[in-house]
Amino acid sequence: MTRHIWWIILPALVLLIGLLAYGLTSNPKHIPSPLIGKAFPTLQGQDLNGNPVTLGLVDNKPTIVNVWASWCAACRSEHNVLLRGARRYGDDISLVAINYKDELPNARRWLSRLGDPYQWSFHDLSGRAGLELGVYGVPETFFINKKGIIVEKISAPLTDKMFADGVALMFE
Amino acid sequence: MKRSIKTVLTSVLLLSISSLVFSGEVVEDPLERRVLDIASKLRCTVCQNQPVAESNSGLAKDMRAVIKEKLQQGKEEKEIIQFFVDRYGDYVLLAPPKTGSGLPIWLLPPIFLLCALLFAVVAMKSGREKKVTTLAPLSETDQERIRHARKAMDDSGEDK
Amino acid sequence: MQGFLGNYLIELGHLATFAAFILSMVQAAAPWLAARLQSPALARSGVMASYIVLILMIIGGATLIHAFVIGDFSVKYVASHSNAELPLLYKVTALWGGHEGSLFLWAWILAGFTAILAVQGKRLFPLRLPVMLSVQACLLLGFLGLILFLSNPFERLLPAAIAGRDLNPLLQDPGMAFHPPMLYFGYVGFSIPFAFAMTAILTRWETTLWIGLIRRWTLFAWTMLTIGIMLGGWWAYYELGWGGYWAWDPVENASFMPWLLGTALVHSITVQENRRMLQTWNLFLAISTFALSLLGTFLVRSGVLSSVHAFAVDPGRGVYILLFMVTVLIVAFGLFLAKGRIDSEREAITSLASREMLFVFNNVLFSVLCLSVLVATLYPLALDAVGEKITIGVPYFNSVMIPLFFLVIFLMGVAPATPWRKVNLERLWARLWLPTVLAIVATITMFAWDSQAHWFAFVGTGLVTFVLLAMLVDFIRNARRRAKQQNENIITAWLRLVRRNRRYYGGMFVHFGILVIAIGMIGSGLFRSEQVVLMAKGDVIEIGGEKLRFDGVKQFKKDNYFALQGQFALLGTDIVIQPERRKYPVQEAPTTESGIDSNWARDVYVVIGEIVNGRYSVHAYVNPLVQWIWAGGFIIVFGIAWSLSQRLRNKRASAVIAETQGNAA
Repeated sequence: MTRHIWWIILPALVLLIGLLAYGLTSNPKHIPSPLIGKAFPTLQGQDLNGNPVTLGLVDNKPTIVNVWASWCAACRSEHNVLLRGARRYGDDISLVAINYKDELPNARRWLSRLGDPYQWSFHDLSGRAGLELGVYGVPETFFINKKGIIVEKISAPLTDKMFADGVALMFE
Repeated sequence: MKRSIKTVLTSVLLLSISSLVFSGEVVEDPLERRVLDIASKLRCTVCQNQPVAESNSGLAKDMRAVIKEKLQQGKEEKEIIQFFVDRYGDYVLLAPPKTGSGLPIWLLPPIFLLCALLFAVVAMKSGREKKVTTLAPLSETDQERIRHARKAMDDSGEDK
Repeated sequence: MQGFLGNYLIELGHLATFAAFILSMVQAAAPWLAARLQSPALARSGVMASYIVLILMIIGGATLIHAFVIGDFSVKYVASHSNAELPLLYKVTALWGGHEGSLFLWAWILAGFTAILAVQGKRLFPLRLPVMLSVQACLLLGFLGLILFLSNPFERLLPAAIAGRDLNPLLQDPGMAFHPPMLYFGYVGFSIPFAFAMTAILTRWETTLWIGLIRRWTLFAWTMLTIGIMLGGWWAYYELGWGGYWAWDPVENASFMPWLLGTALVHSITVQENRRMLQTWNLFLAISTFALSLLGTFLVRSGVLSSVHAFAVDPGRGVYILLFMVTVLIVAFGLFLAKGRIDSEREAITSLASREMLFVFNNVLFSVLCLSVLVATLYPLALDAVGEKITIGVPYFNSVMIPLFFLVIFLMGVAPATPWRKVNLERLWARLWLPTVLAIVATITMFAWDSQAHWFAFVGTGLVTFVLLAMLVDFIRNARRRAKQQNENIITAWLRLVRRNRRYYGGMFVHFGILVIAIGMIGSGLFRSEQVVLMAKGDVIEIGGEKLRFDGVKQFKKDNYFALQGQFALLGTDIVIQPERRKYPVQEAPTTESGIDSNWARDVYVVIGEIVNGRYSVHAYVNPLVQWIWAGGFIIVFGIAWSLSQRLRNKRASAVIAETQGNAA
């Protein structure tokens, strides 16, 4: 074997170790969304009270679409963030939600107990709307700007900072 | 794989048509088969490394329902797969695409093979016989030990 | 026997393990201290230390098993992985049912092999034994450190749990119960060639002098790994319900990579025993194979990769294992690169067309296979670092790996017919023309039988035919030659040949086993029939030439689960296939048990699913030739056993020669 094997083995080892070290910090379940930069699809359906609603840009204002379910433990942790956010940005944005694969009574009870920050919640019992949006878990949140383009998709429970950052992106 | 299943399927269909007299003979719904064919090319995004065809997770079931719906609407396989790629990214494909970020991984194994073969041939050809360092001669006792051991091996008849 | 004695026995085990940890430090330091303090007795103390470490580990392991058997739920690990109603066998195998216990098993086996190495070394290489034991002790320290400080199976749960959480139902199964120990015997087995390589580099020990000694260890480790992988595949086949046995899952790949390099090592050792070549290759392979064993351990326990059967995620442990692995890798490869040219003599290759060169190509192919699996397993992670995510699944691996395996199989046929040093092409063709022609005939026949099949089927059939016939030609040639020389009839000649050349013919049996597996994979992989239907009682389906009639379900309770069992009559026979859906009340995870009817021609494989509108969802497969895969595994093990059963007289004799010649070095 020639001396040149140095040049192959050493960098390969470094690369391998670096990669594995990185791997420890990454989350293998997070998927970046290809929808960012694309228009939010228009989806028609009903809200939790049976009224017809359309998902997309609401009231011609930058819109946040939050995906939640009463059976989702993590959704609880972001719920106060949403309540605060709704109060803070109230008139400048629209805040609606998709209630994902949830039974109506459970959903309604959840909102009445914890508070309802949304203008309305799209009832997606079958999960079909979620599939149209590349939803693979709850909670997820879409930030849509005035032109109807998705500027950000968060696939984790929101924090106040994420909310604020998302809003900033919506107004750029 | 897919083709031989088609063969079986065709023969099953023919057989079932001709044997409608058989009470209770059920056949696989060809639509279901097509759903599974397509689902076997997609990765279940919430599972660990499973195709949509094999997963029992909620999302996989939803995806199969959507595939079925679209097939009923007359959509082609390519369209349906593209539908999921548009929403979930290349991650939803079970094999990486041969373009873009998937290209390197398709090219690397043949490159490895060629490089390794080249390297092996070059290394072997240029290998020079190294200078043999003369070892101290073995003592008489040591030589006798070796002779004795060699004889023992020969006696047992090992000839390869 | 709970209460006072039970509670303290486990602490004894804990203490023993800790003592083993301390003693391993002594064992690791022994040769260096001895050199410093000029005390040969100190160097030899490593041997005694290795025996005591083993005894201590036995105590530790025994107390853990005891805790499982008596159901001591004051031990956290027992409480999480066992249950009073668990059958006894699984109470014992639950020891390796979780992360902490399986790590302990790893360390236990390492201690055991080290002790065996000490016994062997005292007789065959006493001067270098302390260094070897030091290497092993360093490895053991790494594992014991992880076990004692970050993943402790002896941890107490006080007050004790009233009932255990039960063993994961997937593991309550004979195949799965023995899959981990077999794998660990393999992984840990490869630590021995690693120790030899390290010792050789550290003490300038010519490879020629010890390469024969590691042959048996390598074969043993390889065999154990093969059995472990086969058990895993067999288990996946009948348990997981999708009729397949290998999914190129990262955890599966983690065990496959050392197997690939181990195969290269086994063959490469043969070359070095025949010609003085490939010494550096062998050092590299010995180090890398074990490095991959460690990598496998890391990948499986760190949560770095998503996988169907990875252990529970814990980045903290992951950091430790990564650091440990990095240290081993840097030290091992560093030494190899810096001081690995320990061999003074090397033969040049006579001709590129020779058996040596074919072995080199074999090394190349297996290394490329291994590297490809490694890169493909890690590529998604690398892309993730730049913000993209892709999946590398079964279709990719099959497209890339199978053609490479075809090349390997081709070599398998050509190499035995190719002489050492330089091939005579005429003679080679004389031996191989008939296999080639018949292989082409076989390929055409396969094409005629099913022209729609994937091209793998055609090439595979041709290659398998080629190698089978090439092997046959080789046997007949050798038997004929011997019959003439020894004046025997050809049958006697062949039998005596096989008995006297166990190494060679053992190897041929193993190759034959591989071919049998290949046939099984071609059949079950490329000609499978599958149907998914809803069935009501009395319904019949036709699949792959078989007819199944659904005769309803039975429901009952057994051991620690409730079962719903489907009854599927295989028409034309008395056989009733009975797939089940089981519910384990404690763990609350339902499992499906496939119903399988096997014979040599095919498996009929049925899975019963949910009930929809009064009809059951049924998933049925017919897998042709799948049992050949497991049969091939048995043939391989037989072949290895045959190869290893070479008369001990020869072994001792060659060892004496090796060491005596070593005296002059």
